[in-house]
Formats: sequence, C-alpha cells, structure tokens
Amino acid sequence: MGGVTSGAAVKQAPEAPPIESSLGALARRAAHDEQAFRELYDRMKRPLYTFIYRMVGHMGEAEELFQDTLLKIHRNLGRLDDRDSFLAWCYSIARNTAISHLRRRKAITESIDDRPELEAPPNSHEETEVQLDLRKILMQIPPRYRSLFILGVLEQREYQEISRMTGKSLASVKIDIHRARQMVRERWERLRKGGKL
Amino acid sequence: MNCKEIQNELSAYLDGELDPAMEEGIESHLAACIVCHREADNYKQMDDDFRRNLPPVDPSPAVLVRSLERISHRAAPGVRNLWRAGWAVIGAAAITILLMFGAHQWREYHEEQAILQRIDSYSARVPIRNVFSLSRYDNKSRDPFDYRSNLAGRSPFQIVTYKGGPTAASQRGE
Repeated sequence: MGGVTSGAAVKQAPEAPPIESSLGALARRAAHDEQAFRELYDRMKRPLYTFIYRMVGHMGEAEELFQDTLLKIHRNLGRLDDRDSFLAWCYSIARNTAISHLRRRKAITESIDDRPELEAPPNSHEETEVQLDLRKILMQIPPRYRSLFILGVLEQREYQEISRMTGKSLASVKIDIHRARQMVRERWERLRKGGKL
Repeated sequence: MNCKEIQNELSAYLDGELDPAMEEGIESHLAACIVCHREADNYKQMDDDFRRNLPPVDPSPAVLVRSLERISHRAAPGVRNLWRAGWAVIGAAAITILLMFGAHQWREYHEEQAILQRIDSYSARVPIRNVFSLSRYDNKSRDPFDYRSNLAGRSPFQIVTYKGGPTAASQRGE
C-alpha cells in the first residue's frame, strides 16, 4: 500500500509559471507604459484566464471577465504595495470578478432559464466527453468552493498563498478545500459508476 | 488518530500542507489501514483525473487588443475631466438653490410666527375694540384682506384688524 503515500505529500510544481519579484516592478511600469503592460499580459494571461474560464465554464463570458479583470488591475496598479504578492492580488481581483458575475448570472437564470451551455476552450480541438463531464462537475459546486478547488487541487497552490488570495484564514482554507474535494468526489464517483450528473 | 481524524486530514496531506510529524503519522496509518488507504487513493485518482483533463487555456489574441482599447479609452483624461467638472458644477448649483430656498422658507415661517405671537400676547391684554380702533392709523393699506402684503412693516395692532375685525370701509361707515 505505498502508491498513495510515496508521492502524496510532495507538492508538485504548480501549472502557472512562478511569478518572481521582478513582476512587481513590471506591474508598476505597466500603469503608464503600454509595452510593459503587454509584457505583463503575456506572463499573466494563462493563469488568470484559465482560472476565470474554470470558474464560469463559458468561453465568451470568461473573455469578458478576463478583460474586466485586466481593466481593474490596470486601474489599481498605482496602489500596489511592495509587500503585496502581485499574483495573489491579481487572483483576488479575478476571483471577486468571477464570483460577482456568477451571482448576477444565478439571479437572472433563476427567473429565466437561459443558463449558458458549457463551451470548449478556443484552443482545444475537440472536447472529450470526460472533459465535459468534469467541467460540469466543477460547475455544480458553489463558486466559493469551486475557486478553492481550482486553486488548491488543479493549480496546486500553497494554502498560504490561497489564504492571501481569498482573504481567508489558513485554517479556513484547509477546511474549505477538504469540503470542496468531498463535494467534487461525490459527483465524480457517481459519474464513474455510470450515474448521471 | 482514528480513521475519521485521518480522513479529515487527507486533503491537506495530499496537498503537502501538513507538518512532518503529522505527515508521518498519516503515512504509518495508511500503511496499516486498507479503508483509509483506499480513501486516499481515491482522492488522488480524482485529482489526477481533473488535472489531466482540464489543462490550462489561453485567451484569444483579440482579448489583448480589446483590453488595450478599453484601457486607452478609459484613460483619456480630457473628456473624463470635462464630464467630471460638468457634473460638479451642476451638483453645486443644485445644492445652492436648495439651500437658498430652504433659508427663505425658514425665514418667512419664523417671521410669521413672531408676528402671530405678538398678536396673541397683545390680544390677551387689550379689549378687542381698542385693537380695532388702532386700525384707523393704518393709512398704508387699501386692501385689508390682502393679509400677506399687509404683514410687512405693520404693527401687530394693525394686523389684528384684518383677522376677522371690521374692514377699513366699515370703519369709515361705508
């Protein structure tokens, strides 16, 4: 019984590129310099867009929200504190933007049934049935747990970093990620046994 | 630790967030307990399944162009400042008008109250006919029923005559 224990506690490299401290300086320049903003964009687009897309499950909405997030980041670059983690700060903006959007969408779809269909990302050739099912599972758990599942499980970020991104205590992050895993696993097992989502 | 406590820590264990002593305790439990081992294995399979099937994605290239357009549009200071200044002037004018109107109403109300108070206090002390007789000295008003125009610059004795008393015409015997 060594399969799980051997590599379980080793934190794998997160899928997002490491954001070094030079990014803070680049961010401050980006407030007034378009070239610096483009450079910042190139380094931030994948992690931020992926996070938003996983949160909302719809390409068109994700692109709109990503633009809103960029605009908010640009608007507040001047207030960026040296001590702040730039990435955590960007993620907190993206997360709040996505959650607010999902709240508004829920309010609308509760009155009229026009929930947007899940869409395949633009750079994937064809989304498999498994991929679609997994994204459906993600969309079925409440947004605040979904964001923690994405950050903790999919992106494999450290709890301390997630705590800064979400403004939650470390203990709360730990409990909520466990709860999010339980919610996802319940549906994932049902799917594996041939049940419906 | 019992199985329930171990299973509550599995998530943090799989994420590598436990201190070494706790991690060691969990590993020794998992080595001995088939139920908890299966539970951990299940979580691990699920995590791998999600990571493998939901890879990172990039936005379309048009997003950068649209974002830069929005940023440059928003940052145009001339137009934005003009709008701000316009709204500030309108707001200040509206507040000034409201304050002036309020002050005028307040002043009018208190003036009327003061006059009526003086009338009441005088009426309590002087026989009503004496009050009426004082109206003879009123050579300014030609229309005693025009209460508002007659308030200004009058003594309360003169005003009392207009509150139900005889008119200037009746005083003259007409």
